Amino acid sequence: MIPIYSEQLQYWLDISDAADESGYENTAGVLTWTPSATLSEYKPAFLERAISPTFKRTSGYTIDSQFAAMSDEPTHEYFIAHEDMTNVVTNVVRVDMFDPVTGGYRARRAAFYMTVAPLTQNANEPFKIPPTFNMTDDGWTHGVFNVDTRTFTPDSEEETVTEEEAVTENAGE
Amino acid sequence: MLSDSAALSGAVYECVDTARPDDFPYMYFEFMPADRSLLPALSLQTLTGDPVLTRFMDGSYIGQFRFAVYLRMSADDDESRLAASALMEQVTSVVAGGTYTLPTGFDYHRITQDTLPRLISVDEGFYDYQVTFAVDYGKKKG
Repeated sequence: MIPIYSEQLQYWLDISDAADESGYENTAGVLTWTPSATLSEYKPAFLERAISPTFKRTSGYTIDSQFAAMSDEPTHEYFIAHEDMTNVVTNVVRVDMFDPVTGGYRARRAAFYMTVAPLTQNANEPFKIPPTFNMTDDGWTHGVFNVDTRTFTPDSEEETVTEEEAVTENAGE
Repeated sequence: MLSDSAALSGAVYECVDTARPDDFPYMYFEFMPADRSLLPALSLQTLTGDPVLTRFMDGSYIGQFRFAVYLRMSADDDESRLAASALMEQVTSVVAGGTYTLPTGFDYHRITQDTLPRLISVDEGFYDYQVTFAVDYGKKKG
């Protein structure tokens, strides 16, 4: 048994205000990072069945986090610049460092709205930054993240190209 | 964390040694001389304590290196003991205001004074005074 520790799960944040994925930075100084999904139930009525199955759907996905402020961390500078701002558009990539693949590591990306609540502080310790992220995408997009080039490549990208090529080829026949 | 203490002991010792007042011709590491001709002397000792103040999710941490600075004097009368107190205040000020250059991989954060200077033992005419400090530092997971 080989445990996977928290340090092997990285969260990269796009800190380019354009949210065009040009500014991925690894988060550091993370005290807590707590993703949670809100699930809702629904029961479709199947007349031909005695018992209707219960389905669940994700109706919300939120990440609550807390950082110990550091003066030399780009993500912290980004948070402080957006303190008290709501619904700042950004992207979050979760990188599974325990799962290396060709071109990087297994990863998943989603667009989020970020809200940074006021900074809090206690005596004799770094002040705390409490960003909250609310997912805007319809779930995670799976892919590969290259930590050297800081780029995310979705798995579906190659499939999409293949489909387009197939359509073009079919049209030409 | 074991290597932290070994690496920081030498660095902090050098910083204190550089900053020590001219009144002290001798400085030692975890040793106090019993030869009166070598007094007054300063000595630095590492202290125990929780080495990690804050641990982060990526494996990085804010650590703390605690140490004590001792002053040994041969003080035979009130006047010399009062002079020792004044010297200890001077040592405290110098150490607390020193510039600390830590080894590669350590980010120096700050130094704080943990305890007030005080007389901790009197033995065979040796008066030993102590003041303790803590250096906070950051260490990133490589």
